[in-house]
Amino acid sequence: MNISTKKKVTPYLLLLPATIFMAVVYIYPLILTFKYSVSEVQVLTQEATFVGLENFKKIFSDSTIKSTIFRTLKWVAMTVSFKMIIGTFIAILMTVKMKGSKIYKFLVLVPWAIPTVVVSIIWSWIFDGNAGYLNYYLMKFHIISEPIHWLANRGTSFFATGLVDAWAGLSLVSMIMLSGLNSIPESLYEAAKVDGAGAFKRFTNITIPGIRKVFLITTILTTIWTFNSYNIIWVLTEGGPIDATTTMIIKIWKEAFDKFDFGMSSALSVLAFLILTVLSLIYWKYLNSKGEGI
Amino acid sequence: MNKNLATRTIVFILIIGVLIFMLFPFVVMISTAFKNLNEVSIWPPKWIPEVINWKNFSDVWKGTVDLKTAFKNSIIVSLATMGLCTIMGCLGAYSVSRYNFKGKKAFMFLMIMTQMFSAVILVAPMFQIVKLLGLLDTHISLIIANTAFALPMTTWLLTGYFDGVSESLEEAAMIDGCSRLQAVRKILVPVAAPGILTSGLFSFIMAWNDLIFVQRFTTKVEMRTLTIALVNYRGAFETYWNKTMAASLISVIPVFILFLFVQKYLVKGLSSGAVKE
Repeated sequence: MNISTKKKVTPYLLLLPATIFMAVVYIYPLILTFKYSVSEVQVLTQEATFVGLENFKKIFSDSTIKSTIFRTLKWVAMTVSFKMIIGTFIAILMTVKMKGSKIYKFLVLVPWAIPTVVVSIIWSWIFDGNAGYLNYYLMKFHIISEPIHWLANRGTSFFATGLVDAWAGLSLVSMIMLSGLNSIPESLYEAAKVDGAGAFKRFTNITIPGIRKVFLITTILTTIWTFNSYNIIWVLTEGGPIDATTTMIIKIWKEAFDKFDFGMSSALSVLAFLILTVLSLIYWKYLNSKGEGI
Repeated sequence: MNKNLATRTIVFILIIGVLIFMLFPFVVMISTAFKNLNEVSIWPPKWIPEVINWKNFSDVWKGTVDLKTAFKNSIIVSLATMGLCTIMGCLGAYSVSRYNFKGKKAFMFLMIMTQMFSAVILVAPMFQIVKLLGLLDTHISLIIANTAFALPMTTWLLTGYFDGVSESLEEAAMIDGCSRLQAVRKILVPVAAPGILTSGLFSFIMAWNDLIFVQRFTTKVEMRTLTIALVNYRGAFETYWNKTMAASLISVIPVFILFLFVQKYLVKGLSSGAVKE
């Protein structure tokens, strides 16, 4: 092999292990998901009989699945709003130069270092309907008059799972937003100060346009992550009570492993796959777009 | 100047508020882990237990809960995942970072795309494959599945770290008669070491957090990892929150220590990777 062909082949050879691995362990099951979505699968024998679009027809005629999709939208919208609003707020506080701001930055990261399963277990103790911390403090400050079983109640569990998911995701969101805030040149603020712009004006005229792109990209990314949330919901409520916190991802799991309906589960997976692909393409487009023309 | 002081006070109060919100669950875990059972259900809840009760830890570590075995399994799975991801990730990242070739952008695009889908979407067919191969209740099935989900991010992070090391040093070494491999070993690897370690630990943490695969691929108690052991334990001993919290604390400690070492690099790598090229 001469040097120039070697130089051409080497990069591909280096990619080979990762590519083969991903093809076998990731892409192949993905293809199977698509195959299962148009099949009826015998779980024991693993036989897949082609049934056409039967599973998809079921999805769009089944009212429980329709309400699952609607619930997922609501849950994701709520949780992403928590993450983006509070996360940006935390990031803005980080930009204030004062003593101990390094410690503040570090401490905000602590939730991120806790495995999500543990996060959910701690919060299920905080939410405990009998002796939980939350009930005690809410009653002490007369916000509620008797203990609430937060995770056993349809409305409160919907809210509670979103809150915990947001809590666990806030660290990363605020760090990403901080990197966006830091990328705004200091000179812009100084020039505005010289021109006599007050703090509020500087915020609306410099900070907001300056972080717009990062904010948008982070919102899309956070939407994808939140849509995929499994551990937190599962450990807190297993999608319950009944189906109050069953998002699409939880539903895919339940169809596959509670009902052993792999066909139905895979059809839902394909639907989730399409939703996530669209979101990812939007993310990719914004990520590679130059300038502020969004 | 008075106005400035007022703003600073408000900012300070807001920061304290944020910190209370972000940290109190952590404090709840630690304080409950040291309580005895009577103290757990006392109102008002005590933030500092009257007697520091270490027995909770030894109870869950040995005994019927047998957290020791779960801990061992988690370590095995996470370390092996980390090893696989680091080896394949370094090769891939070196290629992307140091060569120009057709399909480079497509490769990176695919790597990003695979990060966007929950493992739940693939777990049913993966379960079928694992069953077919007779790999249920083995470490290897967990290691391979976790690697598939951690490898793309590891490669992505590593590419960023390699890009940050100037190529000219390696080129100079190669002109001086080093082979490419020697140049990599003597120059790139030492300089990029913190980055390599960080991305490795990232894959370790991902495997450590896995609940999806372990829930499906294992049935035997002795093959459980920490996450599933915790979930089962909480279900079985609903009111023994002190012991559940002790078990939780044990499973947080390893990742927390790793996290302390890498947080600086990880934040930089992740936050810049997520929002810009």
